[in-house]
This record gives sequence, C-alpha cells and structure tokens, in this order.
Amino acid sequence: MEWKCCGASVMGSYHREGGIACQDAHAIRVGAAGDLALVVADGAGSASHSALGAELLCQRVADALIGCPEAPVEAVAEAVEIAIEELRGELSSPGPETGESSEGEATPGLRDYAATLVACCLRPSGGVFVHIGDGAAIAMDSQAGEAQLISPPENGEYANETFFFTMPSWREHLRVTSCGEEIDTVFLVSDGVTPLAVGKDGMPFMPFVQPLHDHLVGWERGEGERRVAATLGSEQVDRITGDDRTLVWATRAMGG
Amino acid sequence: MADELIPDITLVDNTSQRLPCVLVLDGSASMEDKGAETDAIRELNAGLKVLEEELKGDDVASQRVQVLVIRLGDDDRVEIVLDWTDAMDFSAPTIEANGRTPLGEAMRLALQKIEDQKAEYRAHGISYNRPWVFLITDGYPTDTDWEEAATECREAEDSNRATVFAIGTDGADFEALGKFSNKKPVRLEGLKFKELFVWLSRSASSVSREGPDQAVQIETPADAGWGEIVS
Repeated sequence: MEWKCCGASVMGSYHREGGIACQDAHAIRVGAAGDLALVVADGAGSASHSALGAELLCQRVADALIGCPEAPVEAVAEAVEIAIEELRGELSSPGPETGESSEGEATPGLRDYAATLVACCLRPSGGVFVHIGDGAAIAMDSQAGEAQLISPPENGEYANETFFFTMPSWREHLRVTSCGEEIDTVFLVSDGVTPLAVGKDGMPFMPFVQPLHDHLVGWERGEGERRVAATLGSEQVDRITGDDRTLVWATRAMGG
Repeated sequence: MADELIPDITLVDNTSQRLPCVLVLDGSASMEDKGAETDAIRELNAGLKVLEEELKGDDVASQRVQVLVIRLGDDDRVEIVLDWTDAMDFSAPTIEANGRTPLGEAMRLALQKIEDQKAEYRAHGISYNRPWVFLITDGYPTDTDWEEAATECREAEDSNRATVFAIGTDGADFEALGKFSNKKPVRLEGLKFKELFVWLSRSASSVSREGPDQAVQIETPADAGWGEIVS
C-alpha cells in the first residue's frame, strides 16, 4: 500500500510581527510495510521553549507510531504513551538536545516545552488517532465522499484554554480513536487551521476540505507542500487568525 | 505566490465563539442633575449609543460579543433591561435615573445570568471566553447584604468564573466598589462614558479573538483616556 502525503507549518501574523519563531511543528513518516505516521504539535504561546517542545514531540511520537502495522489499537496507544513519558522525563532534566538555557536565563522546566498533539498512524487495516488538547483530525472516505471530524479539539472551560503533554494530567486528556480501512484520506490540523477546516456545526467544512484534497491528489509532495504553505500563509487566512497554522494531509494512492 | 494558492478553496472563519459581557448600570436618582447642562445619566445613555455603533462596526465583535444589561434603582430594585443579545443586534437601551443603589443584588443577578448563559453555550457546543461584568455607579450600595454579594463577586473571580470591572464616577464610594473585584476600581474621568464604551467595545473585540493559549493584553483605562485606577 502506498500513501500520498504532504504537510506544512506556517508562521502566523502574531509571530511574524513579534519576531517569534513558528511554534507549530509536524512530522510525516512512511513505513516499509504500507504504514504511515502523521503528527502535528502546536507549541504553547505562553511557554518559552515550546517550539522545541513541539518539534521533539513530533519526532518522538512519529517514531512510536511507525513500524507497527499489525499492532492492535491499545498497543499503538501504549507506544505513544511511553514515548511521551520518556520525553517528559528528558525535558524535566534538560540535556544537550533540549536546548539548555544560555547564561543568565533560568533553566527551562517541563512546562516551558508545552505543546498539544494530534497524530495518527494509518495501516492497511485502518487508522489510530491520538490527541491531546486542541487541533483536529478529519477522516475521509473519498470514494463515498464522506468526511468526519474523527478527533475534535478539547479545550478547557474557556476558548483560550487547552491541554498540553507537559501537564501533570496529560494522560487524562490523551484521547485515542480508531477508524476502519474504508478511511483512505486524513487531515490533521493545528488550532490555527481548525476555524477553516471545521464548520460551525462541528463537522468538517467541506468547501475547505474537498478542494484541498482534490488539488493535492494531483501534485507531488514538494509542490503540494508549497501550495498548502502559500494558502495557509495567504492574506485571507491572516484576516481570520494570527496563530501559527499547520496542516498535514495523506491519502491512499489509487490502486494501492 | 498568488498563483500557488489552492484554487476553489473557501477560506472563512467558522469559529462560533462568544464573549459574554454584562453591563450593570446605576439608574439611581443621583445619576441625574436636571439643572445641569449634562449629567451622568445623559452621558451614560449617550455612551450606550456609542457602544452600539462600535460593536456593530466591528466585524469580529459584532459576531462574538454578547451583551446583557441590568439596571439598578427605584426602591432597591434590579431589572434586566436587555437580555442576552448578539452585539450585531444590540440596540442601546435608555437607562432612567430614579431611586436607590442596590449594587449587591444587581451583581448577584449578573453572576447568575452568566452561569445560565454558560450552560446554554455548553448545551449547544459553543465555546466562549471568560465573561466580563462591568459595574458602573456614581454612589454607594444601599442594599443591606451588598458586602456578601461583593464577596461572591471576588470568589467568582478567584474561581475563574468571570472578570469584574468596577467603575465609579467622581463621588462614588471607591472603597465599597473595590470590594466587588480583585482588581482595583477605576475612576471615570469627568463623564467620559463615550470613551469608556469605545474602549469596552475594542477590548471586547480583541479578547473575543483569543484562541487557545492566547492572552490578549488590553489597553489600560488611563492609556485609553477615560479613567484612572484608584489605589
């Protein structure tokens, strides 16, 4: 089985104007056995090292999701939990990879790496989604033309509150969902893209989702990524959100 | 870059997010000074009309801010002058000046209406920002258990249920006002109700854009030119 995929993380206008790095990250891994791992992480604006936290979270979760095409859903979830627990441990006592503070700065703690997570692995038998906090995952049966919001955002009581892998209660907010083999297309988005991709009714917003899918199917990965980045970085999107924006898309290749 | 955009894609904001905002307005007799060229009640009412214009003229605020107006006055009476209304449909009510100043009961009603509205939002899957309550008065609370109500307001702030802004005109009892909020009260400069409501609308517009993990800083009353913090 082969997958066609692409992804882009684009800095939002708040960060462009403030000279701050993009705090969204994503990772895509293609497995040897027809499996695919997709990860989106959104670093918290309030956390000093969240861009690095998001990047590390993407890499570790992608590593955990790839290479187990036969594993049951519970085993996939457990592999992700172990990866997050290990990363939390490393970030609690920072070493070379975790961006030690320069002289005069306080040593960063775990919460300084705060990020949300939306990830999935797609295998011949179906998909598994893992999610902490906001952002969203959309699953589509492109043959039937049906899409569902398979993993919705989770916010706190107020719209400006969400959950991060660095929180003590992260396991309570780790949500695992699975889907069958009829799902051939997936979109993962960070919260900067959620207002575009999810409608007011809580369903995928098809005037966004469908043209994106139809268009990306026709392009190679590099060109698809350039177009996703150009679209997410456009003035129209700047008018809607100042936040960083990430979108990862994958579809099963025809005849795969 | 333009030719690289994905064609035929619809890029619109589907967020259905609300910022509930309660105005608790003093309609006591002392707000009126019939002999004067203008007075607090006339300026307050003119300010409410400015608020209507500002909210309706702001694309984001008009869709996201919801307003409820409570008047207090008469024989220690509290009334909802305008129940929850989307900012785009907000029509400035006229507040009458007559009677006493039951601030405690009015603030209790404000907190209750907020909790009721949150339950409505939750039932309909609508996300929301932390609600705002604006208490605006020229006097001193006249209801007997106002201090208990004031404590309930501070507790509501402590438990993150709402943000309370206590604002008084010259001559208001700022010590009493200060008990309704964990923030210091603000003295309205002159009768700058219009400037106050312009600030309110613009601040509400900014805050109603707050997405996850974003805290928007709002301008201080002094910077906005309508008031000073009473310490």
